[in-house]
Amino acid sequence: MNILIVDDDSTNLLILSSILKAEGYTVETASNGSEAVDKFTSGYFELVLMDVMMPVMDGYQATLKIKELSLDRFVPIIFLTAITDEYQLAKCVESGGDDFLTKPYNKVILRSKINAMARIQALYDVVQTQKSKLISLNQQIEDDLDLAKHVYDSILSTTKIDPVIDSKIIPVAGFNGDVILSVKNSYGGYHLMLGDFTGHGLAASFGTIPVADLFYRLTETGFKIADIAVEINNKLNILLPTGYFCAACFISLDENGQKIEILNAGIPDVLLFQENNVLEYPSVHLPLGVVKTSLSKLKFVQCKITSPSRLVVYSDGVIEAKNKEGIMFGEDALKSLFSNNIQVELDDVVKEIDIHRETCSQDDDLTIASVKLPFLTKDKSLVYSRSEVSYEWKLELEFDRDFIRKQQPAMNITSAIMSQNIPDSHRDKIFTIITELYNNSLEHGILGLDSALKSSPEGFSEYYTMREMLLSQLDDAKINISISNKLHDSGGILIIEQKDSGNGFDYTGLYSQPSNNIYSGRGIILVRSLCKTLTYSEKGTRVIAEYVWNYD
Amino acid sequence: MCGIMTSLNLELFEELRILLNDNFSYLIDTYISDTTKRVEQLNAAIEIENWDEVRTIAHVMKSSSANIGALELSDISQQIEHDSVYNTRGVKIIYARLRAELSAVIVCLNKNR
Amino acid sequence: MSLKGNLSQDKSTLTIHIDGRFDFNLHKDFRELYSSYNSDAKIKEYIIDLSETKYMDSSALGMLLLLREYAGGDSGNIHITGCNSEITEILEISNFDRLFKIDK
Repeated sequence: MNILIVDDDSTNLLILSSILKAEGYTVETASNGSEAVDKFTSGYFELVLMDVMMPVMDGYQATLKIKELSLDRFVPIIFLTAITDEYQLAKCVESGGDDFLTKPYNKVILRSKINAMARIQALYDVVQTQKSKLISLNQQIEDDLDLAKHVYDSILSTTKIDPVIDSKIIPVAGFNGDVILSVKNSYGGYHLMLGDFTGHGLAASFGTIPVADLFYRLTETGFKIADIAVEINNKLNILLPTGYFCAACFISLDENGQKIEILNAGIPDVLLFQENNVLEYPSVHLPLGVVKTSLSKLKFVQCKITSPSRLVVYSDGVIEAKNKEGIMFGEDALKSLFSNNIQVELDDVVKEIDIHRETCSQDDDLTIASVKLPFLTKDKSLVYSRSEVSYEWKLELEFDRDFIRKQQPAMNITSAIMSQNIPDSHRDKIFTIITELYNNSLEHGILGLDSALKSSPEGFSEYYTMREMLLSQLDDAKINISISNKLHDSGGILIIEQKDSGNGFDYTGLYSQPSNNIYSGRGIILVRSLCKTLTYSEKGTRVIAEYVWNYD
Repeated sequence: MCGIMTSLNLELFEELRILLNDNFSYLIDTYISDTTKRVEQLNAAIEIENWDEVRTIAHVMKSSSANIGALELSDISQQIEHDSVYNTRGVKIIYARLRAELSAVIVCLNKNR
Repeated sequence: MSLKGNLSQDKSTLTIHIDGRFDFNLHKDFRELYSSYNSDAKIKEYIIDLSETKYMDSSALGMLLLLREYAGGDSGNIHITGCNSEITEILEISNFDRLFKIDK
């Protein structure tokens, strides 16, 4: 330990430095306050022993300066004086002194005082280290939060909320445990979902990301709302810890906004306002994520819209907003707002809730969405505007063993094709062609299944049992599909070429009449009748189909 | 050994001898020359009744004398430091005692170095 | 995707609803469904309700033919109802309109 001794008396300096050197400390001396400050500035000291009365600069002033110079660390200063009055004590403390030592010096007392200071110093160092660790941890958490917020916002901002669906989301914190998702589906209608995760803030918002991802992806792939609800529920069942869940509502609207399907799983009554009455759709299912579910357990309610209506869904934050007296806003107040004016703006609804809450702060995320039904009919010619005209392209795909064993690619391929602005009326035919060609290659070419098996009910079952078994044992296989789109005046032609790694099959019969086995061979007949041409070659391992499509 | 036993705390003094070792003689020289100088300054300050100066010098003598083991001298210095504030008339009388005690201490130190 | 059977009060008509995709994944369920009413020999008519069916593949055609055979072949009475235009087209291409009564 480096010690600085400050005293104007040489005898004192000599004695004290001898004592400290004998104890093993490194010592430097200064004969007044000013010299002490200079030495402290240029050297490194961990303890200062300071006389009080000195010429040029006294011990109080020197102590003030030294403490100022060492703000970032703890340098104990021990005054070399006996406290004789309160005034002196106050002055010592005021200038920053940490202890006192009276003359004559006693080695034992001196040693114990220095050790005590060293312990305080070590403690101070620990606190300092922890403090800087805390500061950097805090910074890291803030950085992480910024990043998470960015990801969260960018995922949810892809929320393709359509103008027909109006919504207001007011979170308590930057992160929201409520989520509202809506997207146009591949049947021309809409899928809408409102979710309210347990709690609010970051913890609650975690679940919204996989939910949004599944919701959009499955809708795009052509899943129906009930299938999406099952998938999301089962995903959350795996993801969320016990005690956490997501109250939610799924709604599908047809293209005209006349047929709606509703599943309420744990949120307040979904309300359908009509001219003179209001229909309520209460929760009929456990919130999502609590238990695994299946399609048959989901009770979607169907409803036909015959007069101008307003569908309203909202999280419990809306009706449970409390004022000072603890009184909730309530479902009745919400109902009367819409009953009095079916066209009421959601902004005005939120204002009413704010008025009710007065000065009370918001304690839960608040979300409300509404749709005016039925949709106003659009001019059909607008549907295919210039920007939506198709162009020429080519898509090449290769499926390997692992994919073939587990997946059915037809839905995704069809979605990819349809996303290139081919009118929706062709969707099912294209899907059929892709499915049948793929299954034919797989079942006959690669798995070598004989369709003659399908001639009896038992054989039919056996055929599919074998299909499953052979698939699971599949060793090495590959299916390549290439699809290109060539344009003509009123539409285009899709050229679908497929090649598989199997041993082929006897396709000669397909060109004649349907075989005498009426249960099989129908797939290819179907494809042939849908396509302009269908040509098998290379022992049946290669096939080219041409499908003509037109703008509506 | 020292003729005036009360002038020097021999126990403390012997401790210092061991502690300072080669520097012990130097310590005694420094103390004697510093203190002799201070007593002269003290005398001058009393003559012109500069009590602040009196107090400052007495304060330093009090601590250095205590440190070297001259406890009686330290006590007398403390008395002067006190009287310079509260009883200036008593200072001159005690000053005579201080001179006598210092002479005794010097003799004792030189004998024991 | 789901499959539901509905027996009329007089137990003479079995209606089968198919929701979603009607493809080879259903082959087992479909067969088990109609054979589970086996004990009731009274069934005279089968109605296949496809109003909630989105797609249908060629194996579904096979399953319909198996049901036809189960119901007594040419003497069986099977109605296919609620077909959307795409499904109707598939049924017509396969000449199923000669084997089944098809309502659009």
